[in-house]
Amino acid sequence: MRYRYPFAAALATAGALALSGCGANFSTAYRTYSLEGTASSERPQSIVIDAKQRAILAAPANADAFANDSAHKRDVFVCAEPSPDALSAITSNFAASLGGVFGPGEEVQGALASAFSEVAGELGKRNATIQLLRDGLYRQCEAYMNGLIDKWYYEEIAHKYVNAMVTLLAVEQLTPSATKAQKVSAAQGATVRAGTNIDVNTPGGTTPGANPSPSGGAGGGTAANPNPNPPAGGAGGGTAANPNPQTGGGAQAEAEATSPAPSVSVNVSEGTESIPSHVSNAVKTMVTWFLTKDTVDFCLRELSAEREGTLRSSAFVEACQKIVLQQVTLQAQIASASSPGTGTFGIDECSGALRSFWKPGGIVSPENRAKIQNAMTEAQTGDVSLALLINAEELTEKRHQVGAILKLPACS
Amino acid sequence: MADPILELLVDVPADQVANVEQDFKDDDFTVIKKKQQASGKWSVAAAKSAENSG
Repeated sequence: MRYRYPFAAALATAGALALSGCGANFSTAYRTYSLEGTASSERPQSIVIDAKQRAILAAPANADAFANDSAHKRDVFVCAEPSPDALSAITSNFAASLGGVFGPGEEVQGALASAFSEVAGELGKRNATIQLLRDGLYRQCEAYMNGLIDKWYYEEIAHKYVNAMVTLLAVEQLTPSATKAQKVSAAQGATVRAGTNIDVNTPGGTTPGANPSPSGGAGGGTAANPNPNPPAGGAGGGTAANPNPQTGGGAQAEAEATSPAPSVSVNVSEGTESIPSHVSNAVKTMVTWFLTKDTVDFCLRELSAEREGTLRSSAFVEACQKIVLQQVTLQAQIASASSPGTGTFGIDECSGALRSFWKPGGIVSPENRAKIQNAMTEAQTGDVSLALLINAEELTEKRHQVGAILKLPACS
Repeated sequence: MADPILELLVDVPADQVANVEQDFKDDDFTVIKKKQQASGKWSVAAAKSAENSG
């Protein structure tokens, strides 16, 4: 429908604007209000701001909260509500109806439609950790504002949130689904490609262990299988494997997607849900560490009190000392688990020299192997294998150090 | 029981896979390898029990 007269068009626009008053109200970017329960003259003003409506609560401080802490006395408590996850999609019917009011080509249509149309959009990526922290800290502030917890307890909770944040973020970042296409730097300069997973599958329900290689080493060759729950039964003959290959002996799991069953297929891909065993171990360790952290903190406080003369039973002290020792061990495991032997292929002349020294004529020399091991210890190569030392680009410097100790010309 | 030793070497060219694999096997590792579809290179994973290390 088209209006023949400008006046009619203006009247229609004004009416539409009036009808859209509610929508416009929702788009208010800044409003104030007061919480009930206090005299209006003393009532602090709370603020609602946009995105879309986010409350910043203000309430008079309880004088008792600062009875023993006058230095930090405040008159007003303020708590900022976490912002919403997404912009609200308020697309005014007014804007949509303009198509029937004005004809195509009339500039006012596009301008008004643009003004009243809001597109929903994600404000930012929020993982579970962020969600937990932002909501939890806000509720903590509310509890403090409402007098349910005191300053000291507030501080204790805030301290615990720091622990939770570090642990949960680490768990999330170590989980491949949360770290797709990301790299996690590890100790010793190694690069952990978190998105690269190794998953041994068992197509057709065949036994995953299998005897991977007829020409494999002695002992029947137990294959390494990161899958903790391999399906039972099926052909294959090999010992069902686990992450701890006990009789490795050079056994080999030849893995290709096209391998016929019984076989071991290995999925090395980016961004899959499978988790490498060293990562899952790290996650388990960190969760355990987090769960025991409070207990350890308590024990450390109590042990400190013990030193100051507070009497505790010997059994209590012993138990706490044991817990603290476990915590230290766990932290050592975390450090170890986060720096697995991972590298990118990259060899040089020194690689060949080391290999020839290790395996003269293609045969392993135990004597030279021992010499290399001593040199690796001297060069502080860490917990990496000789094979990785020879073939990993990241270990080039260490490789040359070891070669120099062995006086291999190609490595000097 | 100590945790197993796990190592991973990525981007191994096809003509070097045999050498890498043999190195790990000679180092008492169990070897699993997989061709990377995108690059045509190989990933070589190796594992052995900590008791078997040394």
